[in-house]
Amino acid sequence: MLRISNIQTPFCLEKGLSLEIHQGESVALIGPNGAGKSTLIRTILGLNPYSAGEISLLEQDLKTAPPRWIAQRMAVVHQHEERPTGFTVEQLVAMGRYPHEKLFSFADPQIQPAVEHAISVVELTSLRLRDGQTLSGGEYQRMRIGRALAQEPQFLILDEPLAHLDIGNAHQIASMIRTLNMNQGITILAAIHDLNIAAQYFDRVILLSHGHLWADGPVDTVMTTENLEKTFNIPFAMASHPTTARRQFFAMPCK
Amino acid sequence: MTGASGLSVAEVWQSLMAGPTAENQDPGHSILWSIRLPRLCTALIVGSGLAIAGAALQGLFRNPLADPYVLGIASGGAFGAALAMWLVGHIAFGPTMGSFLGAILAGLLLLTITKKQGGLDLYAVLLAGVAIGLLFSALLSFVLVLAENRAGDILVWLLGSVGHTDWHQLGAMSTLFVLGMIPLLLLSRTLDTIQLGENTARGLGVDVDRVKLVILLCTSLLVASAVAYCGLIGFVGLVVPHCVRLLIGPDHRRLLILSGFGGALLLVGADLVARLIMADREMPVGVVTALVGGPFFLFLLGRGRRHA
Repeated sequence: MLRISNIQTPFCLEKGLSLEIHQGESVALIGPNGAGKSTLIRTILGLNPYSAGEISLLEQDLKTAPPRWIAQRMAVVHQHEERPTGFTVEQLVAMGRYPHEKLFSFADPQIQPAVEHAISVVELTSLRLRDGQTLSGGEYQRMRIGRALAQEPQFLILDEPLAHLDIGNAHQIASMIRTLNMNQGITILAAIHDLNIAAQYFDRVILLSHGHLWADGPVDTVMTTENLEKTFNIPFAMASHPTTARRQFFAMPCK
Repeated sequence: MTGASGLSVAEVWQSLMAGPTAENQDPGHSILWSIRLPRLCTALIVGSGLAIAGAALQGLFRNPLADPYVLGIASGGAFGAALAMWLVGHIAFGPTMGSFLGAILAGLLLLTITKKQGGLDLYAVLLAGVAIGLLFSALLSFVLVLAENRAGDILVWLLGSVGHTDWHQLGAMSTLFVLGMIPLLLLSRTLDTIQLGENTARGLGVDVDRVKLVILLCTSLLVASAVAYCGLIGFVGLVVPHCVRLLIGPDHRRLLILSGFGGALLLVGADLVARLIMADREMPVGVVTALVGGPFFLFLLGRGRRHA
């Protein structure tokens, strides 16, 4: 379980925020710009200082846990990442094995089954020897999810994983993330901008507004037109998806 | 074993087989064991150490233009060594300690100045390095002015040569080299993950701040072992890792080791040129490496700008 108890950060989560993510859940973090989604994720990852509260993973305080211990259990896909030159897709994915490797290993991590498996799950087998720099935005994002998968984590945290992707790539990757949750039992926490993708592919939704928790629960309880209108400040219309019957939202034109 | 005094392959082989302590009155034997061999070993160690340090720094700062000289670490080492030479002379590893402390000081200054939230300001690294280098060069000149009677010695040492070491100094030098090199080799996978940016490396379990300090300490050891005994020999740490990366790719496990071999080879070659280019005198090897490395650095800079 990932437990956040009364976390306070300067400027954003000032009033304190608490929540628990249980193993096996898939949770979307939604809210308008500046609501605190990225701040919350960065705080969980130890990249943002917090003035009060505690964050624990599997009952271990993350402030004192060794970085390798955390990385063996929790993988991260950040919003931005540098694209180094010269590494193949296979080498990039194999870096996910780092927390499990010995200090200096000459064994080729590329041939490890976890790397093979990760590359096939994110459907990059045909591109495995390509230079990572030549991948398209969607392919690179799939590689990053593959690398996170090679970490064999119990928890996967993603900060805006679908930003800058076209609608096809966004849905494919969201569906890939859902499959990881359903088939491999990986717990997912993802900051998601697109409300319809959050409603379509996640089971639990946390709605943040102005640095505090506005609503938290199943999609149908949290994603109501009333909650969305109050937090995003525009009118919404709601419909059912014709095939999945999940909620879908339409922003009404502003006057 | 080429040099101003010609020794045939057979003579060299005989002397090598006889060993260093053989009672051999032949001048060739003594030239080999007390001049040529220490010189060769020094070039191998210094070249290797500088190239490994360069490869590690380029990896840490994710910048192909980084090397101990460009970043001012070698200037820090040179200042520390010169200060020690002026104050205590060549006794008790004074210059070695001074060089190590100077290099560390320059490195820490660089890390502190370029630190920003979420990692290093990579664009500021080169500028800060150049400024730190200039600062320590100025301090070095100051020491030269103060150390009137020793200034000549210091200047000769500073020009860069691998020909001033005996077997005892080589022992100290290789100890520093091993102490600096082994942790860097152990960190080669870590350097790979740092290429993804500091935040991603942290997510993979890298204790980035500690890694930076260890790399800085180790490169300072390597630089100190080179600078304290051989003066300033520039550009080995810049040129070699870059060429090796072009040949075998960015995987640091291979990059560090092969840069070590490449650096050793380059410096032995440069020393050979330095000794043979003029019949009656020896050119400082630092001049040869700078003559090769300077244009190469400008070429990289130009290419980087065109690609940016």
